[in-house]
Amino acid sequence: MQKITQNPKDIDAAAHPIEGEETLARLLCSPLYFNEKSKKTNPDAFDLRILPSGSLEEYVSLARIQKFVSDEEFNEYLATTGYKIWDDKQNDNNKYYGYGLFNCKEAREVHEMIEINPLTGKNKSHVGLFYKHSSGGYYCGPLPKTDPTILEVLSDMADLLDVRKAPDRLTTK
Amino acid sequence: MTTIEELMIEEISDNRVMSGKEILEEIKDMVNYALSEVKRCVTGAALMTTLLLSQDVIPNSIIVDDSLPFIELPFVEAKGTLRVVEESEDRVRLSEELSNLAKIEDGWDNQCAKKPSRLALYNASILLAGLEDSVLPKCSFFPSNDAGIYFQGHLKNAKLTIFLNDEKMAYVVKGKTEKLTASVILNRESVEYLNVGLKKYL
Repeated sequence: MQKITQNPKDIDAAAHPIEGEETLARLLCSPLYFNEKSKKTNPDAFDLRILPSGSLEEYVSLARIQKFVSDEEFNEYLATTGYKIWDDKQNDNNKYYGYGLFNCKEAREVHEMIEINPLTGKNKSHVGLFYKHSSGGYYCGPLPKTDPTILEVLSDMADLLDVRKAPDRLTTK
Repeated sequence: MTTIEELMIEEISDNRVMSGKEILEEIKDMVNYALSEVKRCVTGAALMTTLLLSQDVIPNSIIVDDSLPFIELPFVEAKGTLRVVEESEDRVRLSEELSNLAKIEDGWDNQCAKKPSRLALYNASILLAGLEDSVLPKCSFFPSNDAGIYFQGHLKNAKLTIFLNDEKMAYVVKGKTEKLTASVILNRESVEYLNVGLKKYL
């Protein structure tokens, strides 16, 4: 049964909206998010998950490129957040893969159900991609992908990504 | 399953007067059809066996549902003696991708993503066996975090995205000006229907 929330607690309604021209990044930690041979991105990169705590994810976490003043600072973000999610020691020889860049406006144009909102909390370098339900609430947890509309949205979002590998110094940690 | 003999009887009982050349052409068509069916069955059965073995499942424990008549288990035993299979490179590549999906463990994203379910893998093997070779070159399989499987790629004139889980197959074929979408029970008929729908995008 798909869960819908009416009031996601993490949206910062008072913050300035995310501009359309902003470049955003989605971490693709698992190598299973990108197929090197076919150059295709896994549509699941934009699905909502069940978190280790058992709670249902309400948004897809994204990084705001403009908030990083230098490549070094962005690499630091890739290292700290990426390895927080992806532990190479638990995954044999599978390396932390990388990330994908995309334009905020293009993402919003994929479907009206997509909302990209500022989040509460101190970390202003990340924002949340929410999926609005027709009832007015927001989807929580894995999306109903047997609905062709949802499937198309996930697939189109995956296609938007300009995928980059994580810098070598991260993958040789 | 229709046998070659049954097909021939069906044709002979058609009461048409045919020339020798026409009869030869008919027989040739029937043999080609029968060989393509054998190829599909063997491909599907061999792949399913690989998947099941990789998950330590005994093949005899599988019950083939009547709604999934595409794969005939007896062909698993017969595959050692049949030599009609000449698989395309892409079919082999995708079979390997599917076999690799069968080896994924729970938590493949280092969080709570589930491994692909056995039924989703079985359904994916049915899909792969049923799709035409011309659909496969730019496609890949991917896992979903809720135990399903995606099949995604580009055709000449459209983008194809399919999602499979234990119960259903949803697909979106997105061309430049139109799209074909459905959410259906996966069986031989639904795969054939998809094949027909894909033809104009190839």
